[in-house]
Amino acid sequence: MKISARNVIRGKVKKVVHGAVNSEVIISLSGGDEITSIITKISAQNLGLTEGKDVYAVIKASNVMIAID
Amino acid sequence: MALIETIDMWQRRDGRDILRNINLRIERGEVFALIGPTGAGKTTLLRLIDLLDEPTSGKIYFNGVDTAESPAVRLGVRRRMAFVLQKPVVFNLSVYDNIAYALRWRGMRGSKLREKVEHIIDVVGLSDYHGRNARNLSGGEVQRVAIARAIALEPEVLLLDEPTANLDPLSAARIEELISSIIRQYATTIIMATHDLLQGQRLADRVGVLMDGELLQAGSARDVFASPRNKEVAEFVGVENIIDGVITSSEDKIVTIESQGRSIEAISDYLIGEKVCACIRPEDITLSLTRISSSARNFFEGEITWLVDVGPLTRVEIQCGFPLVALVTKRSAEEMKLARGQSIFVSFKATAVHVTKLQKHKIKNMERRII
Repeated sequence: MKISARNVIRGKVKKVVHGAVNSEVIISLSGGDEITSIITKISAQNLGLTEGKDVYAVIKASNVMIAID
Repeated sequence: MALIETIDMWQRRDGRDILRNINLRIERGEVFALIGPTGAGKTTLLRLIDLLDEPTSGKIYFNGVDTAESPAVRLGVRRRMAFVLQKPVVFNLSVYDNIAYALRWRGMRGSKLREKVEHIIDVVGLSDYHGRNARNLSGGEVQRVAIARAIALEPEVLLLDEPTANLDPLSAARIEELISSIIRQYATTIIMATHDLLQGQRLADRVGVLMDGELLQAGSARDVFASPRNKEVAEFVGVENIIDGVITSSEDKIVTIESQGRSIEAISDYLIGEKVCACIRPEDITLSLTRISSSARNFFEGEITWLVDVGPLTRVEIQCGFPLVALVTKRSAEEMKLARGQSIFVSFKATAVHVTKLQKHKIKNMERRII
């Protein structure tokens, strides 16, 4: 996938919670961490997001905040 | 209770409305920046707040007291404020005497006066200019003297009119540092006029956008930039992607905006048929060389018309039915071998689109919008 976003992280859909307009999608990463995404419900349906589906979380570098303990 | 509150304030001069229906609340200790282009009415508003002029109509309250109550109230309130003009006038006296002048006027004498002036001279960084005639100073130094004169009076409200407008970049940066240190050291309420949004962002808690005599929007600089109230504000604050269009469908707040034969999806409360503009931050646009299947509701094919490196980022201009600017990392631009004339796919989320009014809202006489 030739895409400008610096972070393309592979994972599996763990859970999809549909709201009225948006859906919350929780993605499990191989190391055990999770990424949560809010997308429109229609996109979640169009992509056929169901538990266990292989997906990529795509995050632009400018949207990543860094924190320390 | 707000420290300063203006209610339905209008200022009319030579048959023209200089200020229209200004409803502004400034809290004690707040740093508020009035931003707007030259001629927007910023100085007029500062002069009214400083009670130097009287409004054509409307009220100004200071700490809950109507400033038009009596000349004595007016004078009392004026003495609690200090105004630094855009082009300050200094007396043909030493820096020391320029600062001491107003304090002497208020009855301060002897060692108390000397200590006070010395301290203020130190605060504004003019210790080496103590005995220098203020008329022989540079623009930045004169501005320091003017600020020193103002803070020496320990005002509750400090009004600054374009404090860096006539200065070179280095002097401007030093004056900004000085204002910043005053904000830290003193609990003074500051209202400053500036045409520079970034200066407002750097110094103020809140910015208010004044355009053509109307206070159009106020909030944190970040909010004003991210969610401009209308196209005019969006253009003034430098939003790069502003696309005019009409809402053609709306379902569960997901609207479709038709623009030049393309459809943009966004989240908005606007209704079908309304003329709007879509604002998209260049940082929120993702580029790809091939068609991707993603959750982003907006996906267009276009052509790269221009590229330029901006520090670690590359600014990419794309024509995809309408012009768009995207910001990607330089590394991504290199890896993707982005070049002028290249075909490219653009994607951005519906939530990345801020929908705002296309037309400027003309304020009506009785309408009140408190900012």
